[in-house]
Amino acid sequence: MAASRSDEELLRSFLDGNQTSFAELMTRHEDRIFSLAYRMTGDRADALDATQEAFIAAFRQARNFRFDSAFGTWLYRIAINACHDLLRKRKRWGGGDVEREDHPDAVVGSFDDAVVARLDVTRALAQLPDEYREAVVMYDIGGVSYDEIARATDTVIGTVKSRISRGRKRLAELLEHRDPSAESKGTI
Amino acid sequence: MNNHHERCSELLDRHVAGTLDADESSWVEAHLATCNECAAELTSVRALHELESASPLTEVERARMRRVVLQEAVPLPEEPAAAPLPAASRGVGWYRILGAAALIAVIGAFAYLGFGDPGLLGGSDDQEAATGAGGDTGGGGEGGSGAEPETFELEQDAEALDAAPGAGAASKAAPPLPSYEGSMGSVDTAEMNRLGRRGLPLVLFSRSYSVEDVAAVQAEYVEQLASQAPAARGQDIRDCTALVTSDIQNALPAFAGFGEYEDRGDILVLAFAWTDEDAGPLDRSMVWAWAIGDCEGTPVHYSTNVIRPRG
Repeated sequence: MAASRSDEELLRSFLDGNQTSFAELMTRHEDRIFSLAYRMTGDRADALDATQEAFIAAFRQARNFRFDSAFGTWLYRIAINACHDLLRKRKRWGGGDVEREDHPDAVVGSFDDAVVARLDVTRALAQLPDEYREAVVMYDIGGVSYDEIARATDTVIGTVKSRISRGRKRLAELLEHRDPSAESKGTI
Repeated sequence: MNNHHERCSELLDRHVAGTLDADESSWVEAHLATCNECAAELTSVRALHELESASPLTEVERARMRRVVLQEAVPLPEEPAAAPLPAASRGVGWYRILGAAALIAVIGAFAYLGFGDPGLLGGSDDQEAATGAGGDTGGGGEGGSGAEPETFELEQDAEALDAAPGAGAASKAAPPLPSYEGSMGSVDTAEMNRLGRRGLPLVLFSRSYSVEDVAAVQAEYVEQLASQAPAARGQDIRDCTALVTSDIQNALPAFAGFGEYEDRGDILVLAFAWTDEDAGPLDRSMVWAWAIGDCEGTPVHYSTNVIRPRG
């Protein structure tokens, strides 16, 4: 049997009317997108929702794919936006406190260090300018190459490197200046 | 960024992952000791790397997500939705997905299905060169016997059926029987789509059979189809047909064949006339393809069309 088709070939097949090709694309990418979503949301149900939303958006926008970047990277961008939208709806981004209703079992000091750290990071990420956050998440969480990020974001590699570097520095500042009393208030 | 900053920034990800070689690692450590900016970047990279990973998706989560995605993603057509599709072990999610995805093909798919079985219609030269009698009498000539493989005719004129003298009468007088078509040779997505739209006897099945006929002939037709094929392929036909008809009761197999699909290797093709109505004609076609011997796996191809009534 011949080697499997590329993502782009599958997408063309889907656009040509073979409905199973999109399902195959989902099979290929759902683990990676779910992993990204989980890292960004820290919640399994939210990660599943974000992954679903990302694939729905990709399905609907498939005809807009220009085939000048990798499908996987394009999908990654969509997934990042899906996570962002979901978390914004959940009020976990943008400096707002996690609502207690979202965590009915939460009590002061009940979150372990890993959870605290994750929420700090995701909140700090939310405060980055969009282009910085996108570049940092794609590179440092997703492992997407400079070249792919550049093609996916319609920019050049030098700009990508600059955005990643500046995004990281800004992120470090935000992490350094996080509110140390937040945990004692029972909100993170 | 100066060159040192830029180089360090580029290496930080691998530094944290522990994948730098010794020289690179030493260089990064030395630079970090003297550069606050890069040390700040390191803080972020570490924080991002420490975001906890998810445990793998469960099969239940996958199936549910796939179903939701394609049900949500496909705009609902004005036409009735496709019937529920077979649910079978590993394929549960996929068949549900395909049930939704099939709506794509339904949209605007009042494709006119046309084909004249040479045996029924008398046939032109083109028809004689096409499928039907050759495949049947050949007893399934595909399979590496070295004989000229039978081929599907994929380009039949959609008007041929109605234009052929006596076609209407023939379809009523002699209802078509399922046919094993042997090898389709190499096919691609476009050909598979055409297969479901035109050039094959699906239209005759639609015009000849209704829901009321299905119970009486379905099992017999499956066996007829399977018995025309070589033994191993015949069992594939039985298995795959059973999978489809277990969930879509009002479906009759019209033809089967084998081919090589793009780069997916050898496939079984099954075409049905069917309907999701409780009565009336089998007003839809569907074409399935699976990898040989893998009916319960993800189908290689699925498409469906609405058959326009005569007139």
